[in-house]
Amino acid sequence: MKKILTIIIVVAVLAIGIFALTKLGNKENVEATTINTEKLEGCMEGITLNVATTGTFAPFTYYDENGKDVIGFDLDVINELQKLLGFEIANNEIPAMNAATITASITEGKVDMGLAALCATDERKQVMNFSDTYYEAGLIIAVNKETSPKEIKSLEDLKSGKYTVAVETGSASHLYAKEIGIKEDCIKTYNEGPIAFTALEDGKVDCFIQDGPGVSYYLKTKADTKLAMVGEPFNQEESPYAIALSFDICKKYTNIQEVINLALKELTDNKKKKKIEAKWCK
Amino acid sequence: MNLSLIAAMFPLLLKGLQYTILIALIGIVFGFIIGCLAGFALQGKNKFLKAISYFYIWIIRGTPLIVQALYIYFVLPKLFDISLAITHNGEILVSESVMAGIIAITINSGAFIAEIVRSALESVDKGQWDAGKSLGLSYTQILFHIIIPIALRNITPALFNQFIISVKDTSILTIIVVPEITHQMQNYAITTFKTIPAYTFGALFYLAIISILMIVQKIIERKLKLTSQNSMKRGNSLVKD
Repeated sequence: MKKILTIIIVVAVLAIGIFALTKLGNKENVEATTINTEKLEGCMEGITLNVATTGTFAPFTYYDENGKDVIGFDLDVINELQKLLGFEIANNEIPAMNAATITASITEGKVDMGLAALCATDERKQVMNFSDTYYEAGLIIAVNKETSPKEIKSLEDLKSGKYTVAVETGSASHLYAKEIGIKEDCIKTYNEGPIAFTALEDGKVDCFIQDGPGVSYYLKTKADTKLAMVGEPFNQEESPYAIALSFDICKKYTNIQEVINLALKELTDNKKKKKIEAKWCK
Repeated sequence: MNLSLIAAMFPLLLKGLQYTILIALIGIVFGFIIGCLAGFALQGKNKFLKAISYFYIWIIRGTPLIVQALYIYFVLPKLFDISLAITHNGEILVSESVMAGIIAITINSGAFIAEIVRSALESVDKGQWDAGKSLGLSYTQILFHIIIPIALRNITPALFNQFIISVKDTSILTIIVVPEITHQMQNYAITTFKTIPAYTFGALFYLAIISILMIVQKIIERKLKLTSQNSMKRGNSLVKD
C-alpha cells in the first residue's frame, strides 16, 4: 500500500511539474526592430531566418531523384527571395519536416518561415501569419480506378460515412475533411502525402483528398498509376499557398510580413515567378 | 491549462488506449508463444531449428520497429497478394493497419522474448539437470518438471517489462494509421493547433497508464517471491521430516 502511495505521489509531482513548465514556457520579450525598406533589394541583409519545408509535396517541395536535396516550386521561390532580400538561412540549410511538424514548429516559433505549399486557412491564421498568396490551388479527390467504389464521384458522396478517406495529417485537406463533417472513423490520417498515395495505390483506402497540383503532378510522373481524379476541384478560394511566418518573427521584425509581400510582388512584376510556374506546373 | 482541453481529449485518448492495449496484449501473448518456441530452439539440439531462430532474431533485432511496421503494412500484402484486413459479411472487423500493427508488435516482442527465454533456460543451474538424471527422470521430464518451472518464474518480471515496452512501442504504429494514443494525440494537436497542451496531456496519459502497469508488475514480483519462499520452506520441512 505504501509503495502504491509513493507511486501516486510521484505521478502527481511529475504532473504538476510538467503543467508548471507549460505555464513558464512563455517566450521572453524580444526587442522589436523594423526593417528599413527604403530600398527593397538587400534590405534584410544580416538577418538570419530559420526556414523549413516539408519535402513531401511534389512539385512544390520534394526530394530529387538522389533523395538528397529538396527541390521544387517553393525552393525556387525561397531562392529568389533570398537573392532579392539578402537574408541568411540558418546553417544554410532548409530542413524538411512533415506537415504536422512544420505547422507545430511555426506555431511554437521554432521555425521563422515556412514554405511548403501551405494553405493560408482561417484555422492556421490563428497561430501564424501568412504572406500574400503565391499560388492558387484547390483540393481534389483521387481514387483508385480498380479498387475504389465507383459511387465516389464528388465530395458529397464522402459524407455518407461508407468510404475511407485518406488525408495528410495536418494538411489543408485534413482540416477541410473535418470541417465538412466526414465521419471521424472514416478519415485515415497519413503522416506524409507519399505514404497516402501508396496506400491508395494498394487499395488500402477508398480515396485521398489532396491539393490539386500535387495530385496532377503525381498522376503525370508516376508510371502505370492506378489513380485518377474525380469531380471538380473544391475549396479553391480557401487553399491559397502562402509563406507562413511565425508570430515570434513578426514580433521581432514588425514589418517582415510587409517586406515579404513587397518581394513577392517584385518577383511577379519582373516575371521571375512566371518562370518558376512554367518550370514546375506545366 | 484549461479543463475543456482535457474534456475534449480524454475520450480520444481512451479510444486510442483500447487499440494500444489490444495490440500490446495480443502482441505479447503471441510474442510469448513465438519467443518460447524460438528460445527453446536456441537451447535445443536441432541445428535446423536453431538456424531458423537465429535468422528470425537477427532480422528483427537488426531492423527498427518503424521499418518493420511499414514493411508489413505495405510490402507483405503485395508479396503474398493478400489483404491483412479481417472482414465478415463485407464488414471490416479488424482493419488492415490494426492487423499490421498486431503482427509487427508480435514478431518484434517475440524476438526479444526469445532472448529472454534463452537466457532464463541458461541461467538454471546445471546441477538441476544432474539432480533430475540421478532421480532417473528422462530429458523431457527434467525439462518440463524441473527446468521450465524454475525458468518461468525467473522470466516473469522480464516478460512484464517487455509488455510495458510493447505498450509504448505501439506509438510508432501511428505511421501506418493505427488509431492508437499517439495518433489521437497528434491529430488533436494538429487540427486544433494546441500543440503544447495536447502533447503534454498525451504524455501524462501515457505516464499514468505505464505507472499502473508498473504497480501491477511490482505486485506480481512480490507474489512470485512469496511463492518461492514458501516452496523453500516446504522443501526445508521435507528435509527435516
